[in-house]
Amino acid sequence: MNAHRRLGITALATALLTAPLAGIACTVDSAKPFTSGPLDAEGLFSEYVVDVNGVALQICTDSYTNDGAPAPCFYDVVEVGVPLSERLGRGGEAFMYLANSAFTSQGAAPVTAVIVMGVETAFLGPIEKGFQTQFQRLRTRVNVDRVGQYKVETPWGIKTYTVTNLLPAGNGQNRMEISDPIDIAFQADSIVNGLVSPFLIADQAPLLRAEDRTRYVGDGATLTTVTGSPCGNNYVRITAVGLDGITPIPINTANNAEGDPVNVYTSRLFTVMGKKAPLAEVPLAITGAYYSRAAGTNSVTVMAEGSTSATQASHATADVMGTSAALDKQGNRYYSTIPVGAFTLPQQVSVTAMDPGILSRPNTKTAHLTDLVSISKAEAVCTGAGANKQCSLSVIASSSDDGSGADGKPVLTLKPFEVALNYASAAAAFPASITLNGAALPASVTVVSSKGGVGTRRVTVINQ
Amino acid sequence: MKNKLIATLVAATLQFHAAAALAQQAGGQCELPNGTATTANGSTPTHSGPLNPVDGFPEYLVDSNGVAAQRCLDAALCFFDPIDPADPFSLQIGSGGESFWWSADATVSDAAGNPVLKLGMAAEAAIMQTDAAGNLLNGSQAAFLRLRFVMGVPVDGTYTVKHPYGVDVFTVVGATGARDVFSTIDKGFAPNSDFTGSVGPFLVATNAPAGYLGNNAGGATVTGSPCGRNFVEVSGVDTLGQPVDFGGGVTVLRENTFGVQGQRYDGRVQTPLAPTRMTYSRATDGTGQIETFANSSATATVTANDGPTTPAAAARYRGATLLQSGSVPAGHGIDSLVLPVVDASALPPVVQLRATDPTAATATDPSALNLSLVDFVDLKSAVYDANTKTLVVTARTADRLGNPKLSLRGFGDFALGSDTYTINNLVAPPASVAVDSVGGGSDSAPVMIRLVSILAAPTAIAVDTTKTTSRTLALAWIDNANSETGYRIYATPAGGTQRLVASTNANISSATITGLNPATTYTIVVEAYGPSAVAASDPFVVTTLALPLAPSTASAVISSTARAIDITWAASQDPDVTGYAVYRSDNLATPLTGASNLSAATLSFRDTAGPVGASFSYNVVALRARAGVTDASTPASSLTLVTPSLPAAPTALAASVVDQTVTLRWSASATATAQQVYRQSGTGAFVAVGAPLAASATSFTDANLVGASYTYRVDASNWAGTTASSVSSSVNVVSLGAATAITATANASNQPVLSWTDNAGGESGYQIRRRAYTISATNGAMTVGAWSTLTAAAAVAGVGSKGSYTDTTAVANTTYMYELAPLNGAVVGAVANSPHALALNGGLPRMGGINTTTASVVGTAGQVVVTWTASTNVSVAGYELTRCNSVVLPILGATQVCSNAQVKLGNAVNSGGTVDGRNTVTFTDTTVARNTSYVYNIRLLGGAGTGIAGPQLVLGKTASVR
Repeated sequence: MNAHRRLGITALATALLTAPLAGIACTVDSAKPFTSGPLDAEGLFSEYVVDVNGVALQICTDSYTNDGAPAPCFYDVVEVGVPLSERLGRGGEAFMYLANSAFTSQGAAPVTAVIVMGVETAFLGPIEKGFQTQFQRLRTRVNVDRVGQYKVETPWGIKTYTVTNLLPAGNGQNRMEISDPIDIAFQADSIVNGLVSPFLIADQAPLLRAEDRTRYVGDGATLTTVTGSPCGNNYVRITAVGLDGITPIPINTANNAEGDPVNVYTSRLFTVMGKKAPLAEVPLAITGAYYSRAAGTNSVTVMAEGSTSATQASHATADVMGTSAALDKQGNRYYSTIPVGAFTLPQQVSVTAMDPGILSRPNTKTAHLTDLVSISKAEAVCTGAGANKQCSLSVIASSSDDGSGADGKPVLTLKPFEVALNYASAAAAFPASITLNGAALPASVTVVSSKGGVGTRRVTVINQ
Repeated sequence: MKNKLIATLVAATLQFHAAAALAQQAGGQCELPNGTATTANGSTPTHSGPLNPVDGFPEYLVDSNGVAAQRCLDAALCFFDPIDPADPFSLQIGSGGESFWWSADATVSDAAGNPVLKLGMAAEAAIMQTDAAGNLLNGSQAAFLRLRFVMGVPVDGTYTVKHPYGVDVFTVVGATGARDVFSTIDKGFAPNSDFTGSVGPFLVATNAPAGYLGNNAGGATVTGSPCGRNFVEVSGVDTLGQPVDFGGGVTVLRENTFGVQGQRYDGRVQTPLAPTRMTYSRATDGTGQIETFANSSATATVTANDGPTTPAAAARYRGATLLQSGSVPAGHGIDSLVLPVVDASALPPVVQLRATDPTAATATDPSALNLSLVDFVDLKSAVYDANTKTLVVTARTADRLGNPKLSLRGFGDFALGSDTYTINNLVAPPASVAVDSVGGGSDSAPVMIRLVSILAAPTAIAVDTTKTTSRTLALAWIDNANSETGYRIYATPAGGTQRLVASTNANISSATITGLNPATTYTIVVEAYGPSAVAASDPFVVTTLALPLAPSTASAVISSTARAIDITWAASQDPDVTGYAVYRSDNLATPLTGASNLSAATLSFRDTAGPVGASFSYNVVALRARAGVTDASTPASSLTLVTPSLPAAPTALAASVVDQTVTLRWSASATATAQQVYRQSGTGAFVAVGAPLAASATSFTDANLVGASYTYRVDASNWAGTTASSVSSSVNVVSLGAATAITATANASNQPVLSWTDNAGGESGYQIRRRAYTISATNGAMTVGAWSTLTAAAAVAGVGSKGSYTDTTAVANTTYMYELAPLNGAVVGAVANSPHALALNGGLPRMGGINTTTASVVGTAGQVVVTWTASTNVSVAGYELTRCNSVVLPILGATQVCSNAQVKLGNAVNSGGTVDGRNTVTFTDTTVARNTSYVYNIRLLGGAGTGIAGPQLVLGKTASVR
């Protein structure tokens, strides 16, 4: 991109003569969420993005030739005299991640495709604060030779386009029969529904310097095979049939390396660029944290999840009242039940995850500790019908706090009835029975503990 | 609630990476009336209304002019994708994937009428994705403002488009005249928000119908541009810097009219409706229920209906109203309906929930949601044992008929039919688990951690009162231990001592105690025990039920009509009694057969197996069955009764015979009430003879017996049974009844073989006699000879058997008559001679043929004279001559077969159609017609009435009468 910035636009648009939105076979949600890091020092863009595999990327403004061309990255160079541009070391457009697949098939009715997948930062007008935006992009453009139905498979999903008219030949991508640009903006410091994540990683990056091979996900220029598709589709594939949905359109040659039929063309080559972010924290989420108290034997249970691509060196510790305990690890899950003695229970637990095997920062999360409410029974026995229907709703719940502490027994309240469950015995078990005459049953009941725990269970209905 | 707007779609974004020819140079400006530019785009903010629960889009949009629009689904005035009638969600939202709150289009054409610019402006609602079945995917809604340029220009150059919201400039390289520019700016928005896109406020057609922003017909002038530019203008400069000529020297194209569509907001939002559950349950026998839960406003009425795509055969839910609880939570309503289904084998795939609220303070539109019906999955528990590193997940689908497979999300499938899934060697369990069913249902639950070696006491000891009986208790408790060996249950009766009454294995939380006393208060303690420790529950006090009330009376009488005793009783006054049982005092441990569980309505029983000559009574108890346990009352007893003994046997039985009559005499039993004579023939079975006799009878006459050896017995009987006398000595009876069914047939040697039915008993043999016939050669008349007695035949065993005799002395070619009679030594019995058996020794041969047939015409009729050679066999009495009518002449040399109707010919002497006298050699057939061909056949006949005849001649002789 040169300094002559081309203001453009898009989103959601579909080609004039096309009808997208057919089946998505790689499952609708095959793209996975990613984490958008906090705002940078200028308050413009996220410091980094981290996909579910733990791949953290930041804005790349590195060019060996200092002209904004790869390797390793493509970006707009600084606009001299524009203070913010000079501070950022970039022009209007720069990427955290970009993968391109561009090809022309060799069949009797060839297709030319340009598939762009990226996480981009840009200024919509002058390079000034207030004009910045960051977004995910999945742009599908295909020039076809015949009308028909074209199924386009990307590493994250499938869309089928119906082309009913051909456009005059031209050299602009806007004259491709299939034009489906999708851009989705995202906020900093958030979990973002993915469009093109997890990110593709280049198998080969020969243009990178030796010391950079662990710092970038590709060299931005070399066509290479990749990994990273959440459903193993590390390719772009187009399948073409006529408008009858049956007749193959020969977009490919009969003898091809993939062994595809003549109406299928597969490209496994991408250019990939992205700079790994040493500032990124390793992924971490505390998925469960509660305390247990049984006849003076107290413990804290904590469960957490980290990156699915964490290295062997990854680990996590829990901190309870100043004492650290290593968590057991299995895959991306962490767990431990930590004895805490008979003193006053802690109010919170902190978990710190780290992965020395990759460029990353430790991540610490804190969770408030409550008791664990478990509902072992939520059953309604009903008789009669209509307004005469009578239901007896029985609920049994228990708390992980047996009430042996100085702060006394937990009070469990049955929602939505606001009824306190009976404390049955020495241990925490709370049966309750409610009769409903001609009134609605709830789909589920919730039991809230005075010690903070909440349990929910759907009601089993026995219609007699 | 799935209807969440996901359109977090981008503001304007950059198209930096376009590869080639065209680019857009600068942001447009909306030139205000005074010509002063304000921003890059003159569009103004738009406000979106609340979420519509039915379609998942904002209910309405309001522009900066205060114009409010709702999604337009009026096909007469608006464009939108049509409803897919097979798509429940399309039916729910009333459109296909694309619809609009508002849109305005303009086409700018050159002097020749060719379109140069198609400008599209819209506030659009779109469903972005479909599911695997091709149906619109709820949750993929996208709402956005759109500004789109599609241009085809005559030459390369820079083109300026002035439009109602600004000015945009495009540079075109490689112009083709078609889609040289394709540029779209979309701005996504969410409900209840303010936002600014590239369009707004809405353009409104000056000819808009009331309630609408336009009629979508095109050609309308508009108002609404924030800068007063209610038109579109296109101009250009080519690469040489000259104005682009669009034809005829026109360098500026302008279009003042638009096609506008949009519907003004009617002020009504949808009635709130948020389904919280739509599940079904069904048992293996197909019965089941559909469970519907939803939240709505407190004053709304929610009904469940058949889904629009539900086949009629599966309909279950026509207009059923959900129960409502308007008070919890405050201001909202909970509605639920559990609808029993007798035949749940074909459930509706989709159920429609409809909410209406005519009483709402502000009028609302009814809401209708088409919801998929899925099986109810109950994830009962997910327990992780930190000792064994094992996670056990227990879940169950309520679809016991379909039994859809369950899977633990992220781990694997449950074994088919199993409710548990176990993961071993799990170092770090997940915080929660989810179970998915192939039936569409799912459930999730947090993972409970079972801590190390806890031997906690069981709690929440409870008795299932529906299963409590007089002697059993069904206990349940909460298992709080994780290292117990098992549980022990102790019971202490009031004032008594504690004893162990039951025990269980580990991880069991219920037990049934048996052997308790009725109406007794017990103190129960459940104890978790390990190898070296126990943890006992708090005491739990419970009282067993009293025994059911007994029947008030019971009585028994000996039947006067049957060998039985009839027991009756008065019903118990206990309303919980479920039946009765009857016992006899000779075995009070076991109820009488068939009387162990009589119904509560049964108040009598007949005992057919009471002992004879015995003294006993009966006990009747009332029963109360609960949960598989039956309590019995104290008994109600009948008075003692005494049954009679068996009678003494008759004695001194003697039998005597005269001819075919046997006379019996005996001494009668003094204790009998009736007697019966039985007779045995040979070694056969004894059969009753005659009617039962009075108890005092001492003789019996058995007359008309067939010959055989007989013995007799006399049985004495009374209520208690029957006693047989000794068997009499045998007596022999001889009968010489005439044989019947006599026949005579020839054997392989052509010897007559006689066969008959033996009607004699005790005969010594049979006398056989025969006599021969002489047959006249001239007229066939038969003259009979004298009888002669042949060697006696053997006796035939058994009346009704077949006797047989072969006459080996018969003379060839002689016709005989036979008769026979049974013998008793020298006494000859009845002769069987009607009918006589007739036989011809040797049979008759086939004739050589007809010699000639001479056809002639006599007068006006025809005749045929047939001649043959006379037989010399003395057994021949005549000939049978037959004629075939309407013969089709055979091919020369072929065999003539007379297969059509035959006519037997004969003279007046024998009207039976024979020619009599074996010496006869000619016959004149005068019954022929002229101009007809006939075939004649002939065969030999024996004596008249004997039925003897020779084989038919198969080579006929043809005669043609002309």
